[in-house]
Amino acid sequence: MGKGRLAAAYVFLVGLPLLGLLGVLRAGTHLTAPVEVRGNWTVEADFNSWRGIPCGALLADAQQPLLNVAQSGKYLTVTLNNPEKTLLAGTIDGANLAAAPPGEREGTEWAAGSKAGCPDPQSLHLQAAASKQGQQKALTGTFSLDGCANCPPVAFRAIRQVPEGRSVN
Amino acid sequence: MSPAVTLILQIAVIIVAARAFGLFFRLINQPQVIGEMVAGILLGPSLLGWVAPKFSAVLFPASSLPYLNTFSQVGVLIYMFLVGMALNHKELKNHGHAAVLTSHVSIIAPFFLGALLALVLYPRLSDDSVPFTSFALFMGAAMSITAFPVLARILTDRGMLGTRLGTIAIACAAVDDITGWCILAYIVVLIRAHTGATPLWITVAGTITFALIMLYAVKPLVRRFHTVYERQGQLSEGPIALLLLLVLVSALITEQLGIHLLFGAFLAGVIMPKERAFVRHILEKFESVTVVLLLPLFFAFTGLRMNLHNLKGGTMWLYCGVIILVAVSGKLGGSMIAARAAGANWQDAAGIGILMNTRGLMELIILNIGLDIGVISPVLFAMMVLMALVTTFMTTPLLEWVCPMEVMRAELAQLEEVQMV
Repeated sequence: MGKGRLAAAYVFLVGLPLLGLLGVLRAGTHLTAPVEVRGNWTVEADFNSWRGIPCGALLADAQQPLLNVAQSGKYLTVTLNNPEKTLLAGTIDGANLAAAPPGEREGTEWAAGSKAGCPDPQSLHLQAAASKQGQQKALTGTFSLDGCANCPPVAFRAIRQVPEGRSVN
Repeated sequence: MSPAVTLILQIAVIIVAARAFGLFFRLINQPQVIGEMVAGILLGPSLLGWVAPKFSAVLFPASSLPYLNTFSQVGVLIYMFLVGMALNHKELKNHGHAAVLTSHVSIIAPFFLGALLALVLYPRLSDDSVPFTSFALFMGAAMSITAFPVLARILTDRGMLGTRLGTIAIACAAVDDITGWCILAYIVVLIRAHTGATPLWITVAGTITFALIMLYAVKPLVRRFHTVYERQGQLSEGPIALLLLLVLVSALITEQLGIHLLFGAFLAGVIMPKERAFVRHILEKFESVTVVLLLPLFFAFTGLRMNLHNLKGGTMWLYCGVIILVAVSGKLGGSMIAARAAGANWQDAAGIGILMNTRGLMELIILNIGLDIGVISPVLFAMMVLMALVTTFMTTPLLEWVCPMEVMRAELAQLEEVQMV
């Protein structure tokens, strides 16, 4: 292989992608990713207004509600205390997150109205905004029971416990 | 069940699954390691946890996973030492500028495309705790890696190790892996500096000093292992224990410096003497236990961390498809074009591209580090593991199509004839 041809090949096949890489790294600094919200959150909320309502029983009796968020970018999986009963799928857009039962989000038919005056207990919806105060992250928002006329939305505030990840091994 | 009983049961199930799938994949002309990787994934929530959740919870309770992880880390640590040991970047020099060009392009082309893909994936599959630069560099490094050991196994199985194509591919893969691991070390440093685990200057200055000590002070000393081997025809238990100690100390130092255990083990392998008989002797000493027992544990642990059910909906699978497409175009396409530009005919160029596209186990190791340090999310981890499987799986059939085994054997026979003359 001649030196001229080798040099030309280097310019086109190594030099150009290298320049492109620098361009990509520069362009990427303007991108914003969703706010990181993964981990366990201690929830402060007054669920008393749901006491006595069949579909609200799950949360009304909760002593120390714990919210767990698993995050992959903008896609979230949220559980509240009992993962089997309150598994929500959600997304985060900027600092605003919304989560609902997975079946509902996927557009499948929703099993509702199984208990008197209330839809299925899994019709829990969550809407919140993430904020950061110093090193501490907080969520402020509401829980609502969709389709339940007697269940007013419950405002909550959640504080994140020790963040997950970042340790090797 | 006590933790020890659970662990022994887990190991037994994992070994049986790994051997069974390994055997099946050999029957369909695939490297055994792909079968073992698949077995690991199927033991996780993607299959076993899905079809038999109760059995899976009993067999792999969350409380037992740290033990399994520790064992698998030991396995990967020794394996990285063996990979470093088998690498000989000087071989690249024997193939002239053409091979050097191919090697460089096979790194930079997929690296660039991986970083370009990061522009699309970062706002969707990452979060603001990861700086874009780290994310893009990680995607680039993950795309540009080649599974040197799997490649060597494929070439050996096909009798291509001695051919021109095989030797160029193996030399390029060696350079790719050394470069890939250096870049990965840099990314780990970036991330850890970002999270404040270790001050950046300590990591950088310490790593450079440590690497220099290993290369200029320890490397001449470890030549004595080879001297002992030449004198005795083997290494007895004393020198082997010393060698292991060196690997462990090196791993601990890099971990303390804020990079990762595996870099130290890899570096310890890189500085070892490269005489073939000596390398083969060390590989034989360590390989069986590592490959049969410890690596399947790593595959299973990877499988337990990966959940294909997280890839919900068409969009996720579209991202996954794009990742595979970018990985193949960058590595296979980049290497092929470079080899062609360097003067190889289209058949050889395609063969080199196909071989360089093998990612296998090395990719899984890098992806696990990425998940550990939080630079990639669980969903992206699952997509990248799938990419590693697909790109490794496609190597053998594509190679058979482009460079049939009979043609390679004929070339090798011709070469041997010329050498005899």
